[in-house]
Amino acid sequence: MPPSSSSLEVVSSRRAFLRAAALAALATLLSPSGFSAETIELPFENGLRPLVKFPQKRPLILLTSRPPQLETPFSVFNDGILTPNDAFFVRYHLAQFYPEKVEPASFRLEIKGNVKVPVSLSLADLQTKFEPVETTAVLQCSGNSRGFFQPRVAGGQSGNGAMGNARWKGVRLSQVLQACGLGQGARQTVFNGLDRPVLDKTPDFVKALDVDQVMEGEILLAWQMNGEDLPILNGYPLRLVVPGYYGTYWVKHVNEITIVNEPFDGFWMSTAYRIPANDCACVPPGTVPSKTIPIQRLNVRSFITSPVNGTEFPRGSEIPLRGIAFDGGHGIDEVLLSEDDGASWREARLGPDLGRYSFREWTAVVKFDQPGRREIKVRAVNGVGQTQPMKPLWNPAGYMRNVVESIHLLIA
Amino acid sequence: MRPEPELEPYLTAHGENRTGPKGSILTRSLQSPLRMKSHFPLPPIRQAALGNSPSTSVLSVRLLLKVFISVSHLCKSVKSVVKFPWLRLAALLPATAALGAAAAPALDLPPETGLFRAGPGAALANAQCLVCHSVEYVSTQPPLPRAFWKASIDKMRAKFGAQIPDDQTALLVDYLVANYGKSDQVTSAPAQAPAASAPPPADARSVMVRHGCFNCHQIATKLVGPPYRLVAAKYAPDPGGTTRVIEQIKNGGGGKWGPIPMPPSPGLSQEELEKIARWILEQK
Repeated sequence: MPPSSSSLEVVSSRRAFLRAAALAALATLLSPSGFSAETIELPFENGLRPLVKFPQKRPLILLTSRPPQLETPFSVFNDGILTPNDAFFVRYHLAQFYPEKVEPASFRLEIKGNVKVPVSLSLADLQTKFEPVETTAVLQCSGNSRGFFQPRVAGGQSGNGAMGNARWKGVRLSQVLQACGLGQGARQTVFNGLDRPVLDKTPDFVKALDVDQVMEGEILLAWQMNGEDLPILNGYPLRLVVPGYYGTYWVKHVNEITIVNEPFDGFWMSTAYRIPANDCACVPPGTVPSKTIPIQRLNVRSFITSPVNGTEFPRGSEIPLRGIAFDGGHGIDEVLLSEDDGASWREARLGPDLGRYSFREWTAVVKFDQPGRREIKVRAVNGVGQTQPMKPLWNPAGYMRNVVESIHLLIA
Repeated sequence: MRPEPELEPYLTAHGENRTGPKGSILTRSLQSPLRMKSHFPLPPIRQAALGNSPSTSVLSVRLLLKVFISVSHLCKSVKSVVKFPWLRLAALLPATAALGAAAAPALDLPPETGLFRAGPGAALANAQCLVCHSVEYVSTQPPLPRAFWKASIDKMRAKFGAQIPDDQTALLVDYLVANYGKSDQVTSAPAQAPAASAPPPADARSVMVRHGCFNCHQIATKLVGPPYRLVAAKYAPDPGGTTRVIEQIKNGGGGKWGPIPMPPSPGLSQEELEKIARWILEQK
């Protein structure tokens, strides 16, 4: 029974439900004792994960519990172009990731260093003294999809769910810094949040961006996503939103901004989150780059969100396809599909444009007349002609995977 | 060997009433999901504001005062005010603390239950690694070789300040390789004969990854083909099961599990076939 275009969402969510139910039943039968009954298996070795409910979240894929790393089940990306707050992924680095409680009334953001007027701002100050703005932007973990790297690499073994798209509300950091007045020679803006390491010797999670980039005006100090206060695990009460840049810069619970005159060289800038210093951010698999730079903008990615891999369809039926595409801020120009392993490509139809930093929805219909296992590949092209590689690129930290994705359908 | 001394100041500074046995950071972290409560150092500014639970009115007065002070700070810069006239306006109208200040959510985390797998060295791993992170930081890694686990321990010590004593790192690396690493590289190198001329034989899973087995089969979930656990459930009790699984991998076939036939894999040696079949039939 092929789903019709109009009932795609209903049918696919019913299918997702059946699939989830079957999975749960299977897990109950087969899982070793002590394992949650609800599991999901990411399609790589050692990819079996429990689904666990954290505060303000629906059950999400548990990568680690302390500090929490939660992944969004991929089916969520088929439910809508904005990722719901309770399904949005979570990634922390330090075990003391949030104080017992943060009182919004007493929370303060300190701005100090090379500014003319150091300030301590309340949430109310930010919300009333500056112009609130909203932007829709993808937040993606640098290591999203790391579990697919071959050869495998160490680090958080994520599937494709360490990403999400939300409408962020806040104020422009540039306006706040202008109000403070930048001192002569101000070079970098250094961000720290309320999270703390357990051991004194563990480097605190501190990130930096160039003042020039900050003053372009796109970076927000945000207190809302998708019309609600930030969930605690996504940075309540205030986080940095850096459209087009990897999640590592989107500092959560941000409470300290320091303007410095020299490039900041803390561990999380000078040692961690670095990519090979070349155009592809890649090296031959298993090798070490000779020179590295801090990770920067998102590269181009696209996914098929429906139907799910391995779905069966009768031959000759019209199969509706749907998915998402995004990049680091040039905007998606076209999404292309191939049914012949990349020999030929045809264009999918693009959905509404929510801005150049947002997920872009795409749809298409395919039909197969011969039975068998058929593959569909998808790739996107952005506003400056950048696209996705047919073969996966590799780097030792497992960052920036953006290979052309594919699904297999079973035509009966 | 424990990081107690470094945590101690936090604990005492915030009036932590330690009830557990001595050196019980680990115990507490596993028992209490709310360990943030126990030793999160409050930034000074918040400590001052929270004080001794002031009454609402006192708090509001303090807040207004603070807002006023911060606004005055903003306005000290005449330049700023001239450039941003709205700042002057804002200063006249102190921001109300009510905006966006709904009840502050508390964090009620699910209990952390995971421990390291039992075996020689597990107690050391539980005592050292779980200070800073839960067991999944290790247990979700792919089966990586000894060099990775060695480098990982070195990094934890050198970069993250883990207090693992010199004379225990070898035991910890052995434990991690044996329980979470590549199964055929368990034994520690120094005890072995000098540099073997041939590389060690690949384990079943490496061969399977190389031959793309996992593209169609997972362990617990049906993808294109059946999950390995179902294959094991069907063939492990069968005395001729290993042979039949080997035949299936080698020659391919179809019809037993679904519409899509499995391709043959002529490139596998008999040794590799046996290794893979044994691995599949062990999946439970």
